[in-house]
Amino acid sequence: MENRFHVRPELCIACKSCELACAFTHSSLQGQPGKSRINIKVIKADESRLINTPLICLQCDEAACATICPTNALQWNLETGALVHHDLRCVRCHLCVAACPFGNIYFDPVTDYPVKCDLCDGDPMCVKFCPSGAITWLPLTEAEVNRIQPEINEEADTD
Amino acid sequence: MVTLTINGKQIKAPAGEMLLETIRRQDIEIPALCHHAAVEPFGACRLCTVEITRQSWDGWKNYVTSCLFPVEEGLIVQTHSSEVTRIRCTILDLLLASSPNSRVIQDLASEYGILASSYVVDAAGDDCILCGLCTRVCSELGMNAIATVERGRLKKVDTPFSEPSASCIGCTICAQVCPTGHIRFEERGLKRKIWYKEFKLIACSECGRSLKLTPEMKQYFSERQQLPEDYLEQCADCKQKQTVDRFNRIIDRSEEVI
Repeated sequence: MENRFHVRPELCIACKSCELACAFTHSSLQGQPGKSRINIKVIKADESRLINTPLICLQCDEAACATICPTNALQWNLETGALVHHDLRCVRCHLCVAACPFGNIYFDPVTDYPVKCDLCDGDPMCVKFCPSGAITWLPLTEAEVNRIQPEINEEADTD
Repeated sequence: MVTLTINGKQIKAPAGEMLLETIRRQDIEIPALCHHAAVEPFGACRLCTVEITRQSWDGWKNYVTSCLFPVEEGLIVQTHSSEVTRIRCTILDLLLASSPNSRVIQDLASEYGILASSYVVDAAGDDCILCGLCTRVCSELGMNAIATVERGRLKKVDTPFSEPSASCIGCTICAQVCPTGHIRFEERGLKRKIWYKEFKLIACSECGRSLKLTPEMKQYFSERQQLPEDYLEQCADCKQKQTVDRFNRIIDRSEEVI
């Protein structure tokens, strides 16, 4: 996989456009929105401050959901780098939903199958609808640099 | 890769794949009640029957269950020819006679134009079509809690001696895969009842909501799949809260980036 999500909670305004984009991209019945695989969690940091964090599947290399799945319903799509849930292999045991350490797999109430981020075949729709740049889809190197920028700058100064 | 013809269209399919998979990949719908990708094909319901022939067969045809028939080079397949439809209608007619109250069977039969069975209807017939999908999934996952018992007319799916089984871990997978919804279970709050056995459900260690898992499932699957048991202790919502908390501590730099 070449690109990664770069999530910056401090920029998120909790408009939930990403959730809508996701729900309509993954409609479970024709014309009806599906269960969103991205979720903006709003928590109270202190009396005056709310923190909004877009939560989305991290596509873990050693994913707990895929490990616990007894029927191998979660398989890697090597083209997009997404860990994809295959409904046909699923026996709806609820283990993956319980096992994800980040709570990023959901149950679709309509189809009763677990749903998770499939990276929209390598072109995530949530990113396109984010107005504030809280969630971006960057080449791995760029995302990595952004993440640890302060340290890199310090190193650059010492050189 | 082999090349075959399905409904007049040339199609390539990986060698060894079963015909049903290839057909479904073409968005051609054929019914199959006993089929599930998680287990080996079994050919119990026979509804996925298709017509096959070859150039060299000189007009001769054969009828096979597509879930059990591997694709072959030069195969010519018809999924909805009049003879195939006739065969499916007979099967559905028989299923409707033995399970007259099953919604799934009724719907499927009416799709094929059968509104009432032409055979002697077993009015007391239950929804089980004895496809054995539940027992196959149960044994595939290693529990072996249920099996078909008795023979002939009395054949049914049950636990040994119709008693609570020590092997049943209350996962309800049998009920989830049952094509006609015959296997039922009760779930109220933190209690679940299936196959004469009562289970307590695990409550989230933070908020107390049901994880929809039994302690037996947790123990069995974490050992079988080699995932530490502590992965299965909190609900998704509480885990999300923790994730947010952690993210923001990293951003605030009160916690070092790992």
